[in-house]
Amino acid sequence: MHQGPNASIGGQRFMIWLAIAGAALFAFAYIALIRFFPPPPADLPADQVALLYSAHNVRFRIGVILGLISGGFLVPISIVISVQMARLEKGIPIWAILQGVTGAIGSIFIWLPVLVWGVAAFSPDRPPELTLIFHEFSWLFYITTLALFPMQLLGIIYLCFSKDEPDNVSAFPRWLGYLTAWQLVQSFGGPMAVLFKTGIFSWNGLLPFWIPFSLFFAWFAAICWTLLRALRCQKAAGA
Amino acid sequence: MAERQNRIPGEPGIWLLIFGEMTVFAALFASFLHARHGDVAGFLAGQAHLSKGIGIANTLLLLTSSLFVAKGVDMAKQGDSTHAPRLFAAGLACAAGFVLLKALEYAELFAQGIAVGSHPFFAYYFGLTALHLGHVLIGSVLLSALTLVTRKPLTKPLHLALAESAGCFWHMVDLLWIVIFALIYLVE
Repeated sequence: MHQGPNASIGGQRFMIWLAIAGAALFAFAYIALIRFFPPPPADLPADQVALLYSAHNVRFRIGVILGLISGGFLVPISIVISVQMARLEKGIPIWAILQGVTGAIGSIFIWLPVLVWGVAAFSPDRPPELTLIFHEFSWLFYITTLALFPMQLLGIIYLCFSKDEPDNVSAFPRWLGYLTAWQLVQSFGGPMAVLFKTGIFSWNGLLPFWIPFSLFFAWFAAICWTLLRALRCQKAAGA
Repeated sequence: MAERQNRIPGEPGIWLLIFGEMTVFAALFASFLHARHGDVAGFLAGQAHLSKGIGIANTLLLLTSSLFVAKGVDMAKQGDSTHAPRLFAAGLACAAGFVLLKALEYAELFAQGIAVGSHPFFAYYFGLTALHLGHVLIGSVLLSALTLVTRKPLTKPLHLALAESAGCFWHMVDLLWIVIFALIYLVE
């Protein structure tokens, strides 16, 4: 039925599990070692910010190393999503390309802030105001992912509603389209963190942090599941 | 008729999005009321800077646009490719009016030297209305799409369901504004 690119099913499965393993390791490093979950308040004074990085400095830096090893997990999953999108598109798969490119570049929003946390922790003796700059830069970088993420989601939403294969075998069922659309709508809350230092709109607040992060987690789990299901169906159909 | 009453408008999936959005906004409203409870006088003083006239005009604009959109979805279902796009375009024009008035209101507040950091009331005012404005813009993109695609009759049931889902999203944008208007402009 679909004449799109024929990629190895085993290879795609491997990349999905690579992404899941990466996300799990990243969550461990971020929550257990870096311990920025929940995030530090955005209005913390400089000396207390410096303390975040200088207390338990070694544990923090080990967390940074693990975060850098695993922080690229968005790349393999974006590639598999693109391959699956390209299967369903006619002609040159522009939505798949947009999704893959923005997903790969968008992964910077996950691992680069971790690197900057590493920079902040690298010299615990420097004046606190200097650490504060790195701290604010990395947090706003981490939270305001709006530059690329909506474009990545756009193609997925489009395919969920335009594909011509049944929902129950597809990597892109329509319910995933609505979940992705919700995530897209809510991603606009992130950049509001630039305006606020306290309350629900600040980077540790409901809107820029908790909702986008919960939705990203739900979306990531959902799309891994639909991709694995679609690959099972494609393997059965090909065998 | 009985069958009609049991049908859910749009796709079931759109309700995941709509209820999700309403839950998020409900949490924001609760947070606003909690903050207001701690500083009623300060919040009332902030409220006095807002123009109720603009608020009422915006409410009327969105209610009217909702009416146009509801009629437009109705026309699209009947395969009327003349009136449906006009109705969606009229809804879109109301949305543009809403955005214009919102911009005027922001400009007026900025001219008074009021910004996000002036008082917690304005943090909520700018935060909530900007977030809602984002929803208006996304809804406007959907209405533009509806204006374009309904110029030919929609034949596939899925396409009609998607048009209806987009209409439901617009009604949600309208409903959320009514709550924001009541909470921010009117509560005394």
